[in-house]
Amino acid sequence: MGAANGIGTTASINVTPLVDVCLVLLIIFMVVTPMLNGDGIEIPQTRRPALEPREKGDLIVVVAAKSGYRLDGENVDLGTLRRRLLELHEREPLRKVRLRADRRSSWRQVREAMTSLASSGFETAALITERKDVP
Amino acid sequence: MKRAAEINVTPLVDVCLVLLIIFMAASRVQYGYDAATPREHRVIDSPVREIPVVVSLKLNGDVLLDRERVEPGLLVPRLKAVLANRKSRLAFFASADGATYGAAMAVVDQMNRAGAKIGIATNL
Repeated sequence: MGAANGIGTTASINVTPLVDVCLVLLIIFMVVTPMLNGDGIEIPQTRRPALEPREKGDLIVVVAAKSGYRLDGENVDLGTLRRRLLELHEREPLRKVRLRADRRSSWRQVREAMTSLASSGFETAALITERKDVP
Repeated sequence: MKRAAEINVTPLVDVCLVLLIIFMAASRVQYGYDAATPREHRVIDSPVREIPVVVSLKLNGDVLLDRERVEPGLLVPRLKAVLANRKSRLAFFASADGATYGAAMAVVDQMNRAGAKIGIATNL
């Protein structure tokens, strides 16, 4: 007669800490996800972009709407961008390039970034967009 | 028999874990278009030199396919038809400098849907 002391206790794991941890992680990811994509850049939305796997070593060129260019998180002007790209291509010619441009930036800015990439020797770049399923 | 009055948290935990996994996965996914950068003297690897198809976006929003205006919405079938007769699926995109990148990418998306390999042309 084991638990015959009148009060029936159900043997259950206390899940409150688990729920707490889950909710905190959930909130962290909800906050961090837009930041990862964000960097203040409004990525254009298109209907059927291809999946571009995010890889760690990829070179990221950012075209901001107003404040020029960013290379690996550092603000640069077009001249500096050209010079730096040339150096980077010499060091690692096969590095993949991702171009994250703001949808409000002008085509001239994007074209100049693409031309700089070409003149440095990078033959392709992934033009990053967001997928929007609405037609 | 006394029972502890407890909320059943199992569905809550399930939902939380699923949402957590979705957000973790979502942060690793990104989309885009592979585009060839403009090159003045790039040799197009085609046995017969073809004059490449050029899709261009004008400042007023008009889309031209080889200098001919295309009605909005008809670019995908028209480009598909043009590419069907060619050896290379390469099509160049050019745009007026003043057009926004967002508008440009909408056209690039249509080119991609027509099955084109996208190259960026330096000027209109």
